[in-house]
Amino acid sequence: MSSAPGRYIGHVIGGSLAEGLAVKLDPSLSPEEVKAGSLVTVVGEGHRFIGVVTNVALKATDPSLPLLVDRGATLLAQVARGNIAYTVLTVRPSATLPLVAGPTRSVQPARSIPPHFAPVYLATAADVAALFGEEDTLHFWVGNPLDLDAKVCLDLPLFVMRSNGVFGKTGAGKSFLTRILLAGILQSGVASLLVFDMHNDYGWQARSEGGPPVKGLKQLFPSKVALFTVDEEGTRRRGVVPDHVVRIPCREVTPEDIALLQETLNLTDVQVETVFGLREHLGPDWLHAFAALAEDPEGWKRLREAVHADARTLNALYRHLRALLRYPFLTEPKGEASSLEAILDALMRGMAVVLEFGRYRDDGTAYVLVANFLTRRLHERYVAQTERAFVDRAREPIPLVVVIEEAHKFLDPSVARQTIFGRIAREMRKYNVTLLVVDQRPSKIDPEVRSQLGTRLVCKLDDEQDIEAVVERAPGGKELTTVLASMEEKQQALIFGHAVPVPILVRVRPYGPAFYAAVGRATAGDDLFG
Amino acid sequence: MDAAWRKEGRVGEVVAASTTAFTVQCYHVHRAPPLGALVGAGTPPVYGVVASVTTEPLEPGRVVLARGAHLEDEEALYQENPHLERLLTTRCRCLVVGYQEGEVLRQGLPPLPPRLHSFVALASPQALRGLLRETAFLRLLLAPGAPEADEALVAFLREAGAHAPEGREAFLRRVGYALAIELARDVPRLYAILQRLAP
Repeated sequence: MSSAPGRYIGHVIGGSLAEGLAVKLDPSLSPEEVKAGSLVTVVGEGHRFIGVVTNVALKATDPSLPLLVDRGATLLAQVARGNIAYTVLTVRPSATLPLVAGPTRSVQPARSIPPHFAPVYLATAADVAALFGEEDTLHFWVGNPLDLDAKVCLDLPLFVMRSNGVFGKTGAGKSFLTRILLAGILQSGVASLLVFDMHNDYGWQARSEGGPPVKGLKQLFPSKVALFTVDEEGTRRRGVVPDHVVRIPCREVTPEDIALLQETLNLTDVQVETVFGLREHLGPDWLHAFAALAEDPEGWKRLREAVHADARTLNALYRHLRALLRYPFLTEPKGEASSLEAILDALMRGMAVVLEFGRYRDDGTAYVLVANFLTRRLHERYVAQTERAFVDRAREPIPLVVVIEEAHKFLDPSVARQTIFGRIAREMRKYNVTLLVVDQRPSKIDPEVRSQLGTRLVCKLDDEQDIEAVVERAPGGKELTTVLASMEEKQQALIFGHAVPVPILVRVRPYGPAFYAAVGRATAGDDLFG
Repeated sequence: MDAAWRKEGRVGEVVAASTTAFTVQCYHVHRAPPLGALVGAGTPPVYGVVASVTTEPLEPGRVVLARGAHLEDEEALYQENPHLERLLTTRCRCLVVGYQEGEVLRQGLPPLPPRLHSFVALASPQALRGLLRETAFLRLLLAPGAPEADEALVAFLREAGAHAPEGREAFLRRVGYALAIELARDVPRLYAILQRLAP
């Protein structure tokens, strides 16, 4: 690594570890030249500190200065600018590097600050490489710092170790960023993937605003991706042949699964309680039995008494649950391997399973039911297998990353405690299953779950609540808010947390032919799953 | 400093001196160096900027009378009363800004004030340029703090601008920058000075 510093931009004049360093901008630079989110290095006496510019402020030594400078007082304006009227950058030191680079990467979190008047430079490509690692199989290039021709790489093994979040408002590039991350994980083989593809964005191909459709994961990694669908007809209509059609055996649907649909099915608390009574009374195939009893007035009456429900509750519940039974994917298994086994089989081989929802793309009930049903059972298998691996480490399953879009549907504070997703987020990587939460409204996600997200990749957000939610409990959260508020509408992401040594604002790597070629090259000849 | 030039430009002698200021009695009544002029006193010279000029009777008790009621012009008054040149005196007070030490013109206060009766002459253009190389002397001119002292500074800088090696505009920016640092916490004063300097 070359240790030549980048452009000199100023020197430290104050600040603290908690609040960030105050850096007086060199008078030769205009405040317009330094942007929030820029990466800088501060050369201390024993370390180089790496930090992010989180704020730019104009200051004056005397409060009367702004009052006295008017259009006429040009000489005063000229001599004051950069002098007694100056610019102060707030720089949050996040990591330190040794002054002289050694053979190993020794990035440490910043636990002290540089002394007064330490010089500050814009980071160089070499600094970025020292921090984020050189691009290789396990360090995946996700984007470039603003104003710097260097690659910001994500340490993938570190990334998949914990649950993560991708946030951003509609159209800010969340899906593109997520696809890039998934391609990286898939290419590196650090984890298998289960993608609940609510909007059919990841499988075969996806829409791009104002451009031709872009390739989905299946086109990029034909042999590493299994395309599952809930709506075979819909998937085929789009000219895509699914590898497997998901069916959920009706008798395996439990009252817990129904409880999670409380909001989408508009169920009252009493109705949900009644469901548990139904299961107890009617046995495993309670859903069918319940539907059948509706045709039998006598049986219906007996049932009402048995579950202590009044007529209105039971009738309303029937109306709601009948909607479930209309889903063609909710059937009896017809002798073929169960969908769960098929998914598990693919995942255990390190593949990615993309589950499309076809025509149910806007049907919250179908999405929550299927995602929760499958994930809960997969999680049980992973728990069992991981526990067996305590004895025999070779049997430890490949880590699994479960990707959920519209994550607030599962992680809303009212349901997060019950859903399997809330549990996965809380128990971290203990059982080799983590989440990649993709959402546009982070504020709607349970704060406890949010706080468990290791690395957050945040595209443009507009809502103040969402901005606050996304940085909540993150070190330097308050300053990151400023960076988030100043982001561009598209193709930018602020990455912070577990898998990156410093928060960094990046221009997301373009997803197009160059990307296809790059991941294609990296996987050619490395195809173990064909 | 060129001795011939000094003789030609000589204006008077030091009659009171300290390390920070000296008073010059001028050889001729009403013929003092102007406010803000750079003068050198003694050899090697101590340099000062004229901060105030006073004309008064030589004897403190003497009352000055109006004498020209019957005359056409002021010149005639002085011609008719040649003794006035002997009875009145013009003095100027100069703030020390630097001193010559060998070949170098140093900014700041000299180790000792100029001797009494040191000859005082207008400083040569070279001496002025030598002084203007740096701006540390500004501090000494700002020290009195009174508005009339700032007027002397303004007058000095206006004159100096014409001789500045880098040209007037760049000189004013450079000096303004230094003044801004000195007056960082008194911007109204800085504003007043700069307003007077602007073309």
